[in-house]
Amino acid sequence: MKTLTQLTLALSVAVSGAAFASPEADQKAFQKFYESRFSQVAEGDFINGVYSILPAAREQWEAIEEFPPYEPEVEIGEELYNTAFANGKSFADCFDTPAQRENYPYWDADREMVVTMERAINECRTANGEKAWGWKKGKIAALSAYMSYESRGQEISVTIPEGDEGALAAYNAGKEMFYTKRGQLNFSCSDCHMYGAGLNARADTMSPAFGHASHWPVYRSKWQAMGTLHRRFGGCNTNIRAKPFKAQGPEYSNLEYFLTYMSNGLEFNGPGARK
Amino acid sequence: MKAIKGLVVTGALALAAMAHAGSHGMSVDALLEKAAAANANAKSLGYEWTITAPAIKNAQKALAAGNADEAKALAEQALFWAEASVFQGENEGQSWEMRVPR
Ligand code: HEC
Repeated sequence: MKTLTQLTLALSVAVSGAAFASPEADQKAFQKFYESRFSQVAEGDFINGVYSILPAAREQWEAIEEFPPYEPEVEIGEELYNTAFANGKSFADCFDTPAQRENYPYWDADREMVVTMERAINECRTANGEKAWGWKKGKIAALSAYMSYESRGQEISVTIPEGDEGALAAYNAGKEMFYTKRGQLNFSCSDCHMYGAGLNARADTMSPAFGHASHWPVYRSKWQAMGTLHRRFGGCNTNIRAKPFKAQGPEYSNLEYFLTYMSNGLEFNGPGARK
Repeated sequence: MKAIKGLVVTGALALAAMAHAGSHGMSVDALLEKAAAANANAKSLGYEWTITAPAIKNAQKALAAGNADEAKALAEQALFWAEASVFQGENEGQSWEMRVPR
């Protein structure tokens, strides 16, 4: 009888708790989930993705990081940052410093939308009469790699402005995206990267979602190139046969907002290298 | 908890299969029209599957090439996927909060 009462209690707490949970409470429970499941992981180390929980693969990865495959991209990005637009201005007229990661993503209350660093890069271009770059790879990834490199060590500290219903709705939309099952294979992000973290999907061990937003863009050996976080979102959706959303559209921007907020307190350590 | 959720969704998909079992007497054109409408509905819910639109296209191609049996099989497949994705969207919109850790 006691266990039954406990179970009923636990269930009602789970349900009512989920309905009214504040972002702060969500974040606390999210981080606690990973910290207790992977208690062997040193504080702050979830930024290293699957390597935080796979000591054997980590050695190989650390060897790769000694001659990082993203280094040429960082150099290209630096050049892009310092090259003047046709109107004589440059990115330095939009950003006070290239070390911008800690300022993104943020909720823009005037425009009622989440602004990512990639969006800010392209908006700087179009504001200066240049064409926007493609969102998922190429120049935007190179510039974002340079800016991330310059931002290494900054703390992830996304805010959901108190009392702003739009911001809360964007956060909740991202949260819903993370926990809903999609595609013919009927998986949610959380099935794989939360409840399945540490287990294998085909040849890959699935990484914890705590830390997922810390290290972008990423040089992936599978891509043989750099790609942005939204490129990766699209890949994970396609793998389960869910039609991916547009990079930098509201769905993935809100997802980034939620996911980055869940990792508050960790450090930005991009760009990264992954399989 | 996870096993239960799995069951619920399997149940929903089985229901979708039954719903579509009622469409056996339909022409390929009617099946395709129904599949396209359901797929548009799945899309508006944000739950379109990658495989549905190509199946509709392939069914149309088979129909145009005069392969009636193949066209019908593909159209039924497409309709099943389209309806299952709508069920998924409607079901998930309700039940995802149970997966949020507390
Ligand atoms: C079927 C399981 C599965 C689902 C569902 C899934 N992923 Fe993944 N994901 C993987 C695998 C496998 C990898 C590669 C190994 C790893 O986790 O680093 C990966 C990689 C990633 C990475 C890169 C991790 C890193 O360290 O660079 C991110 C970010 C990510 N997924 C986010 C998501 C999001 C967000 C969703 C939901 C929209 C999602 N994934 C859905 C299996 C999945």
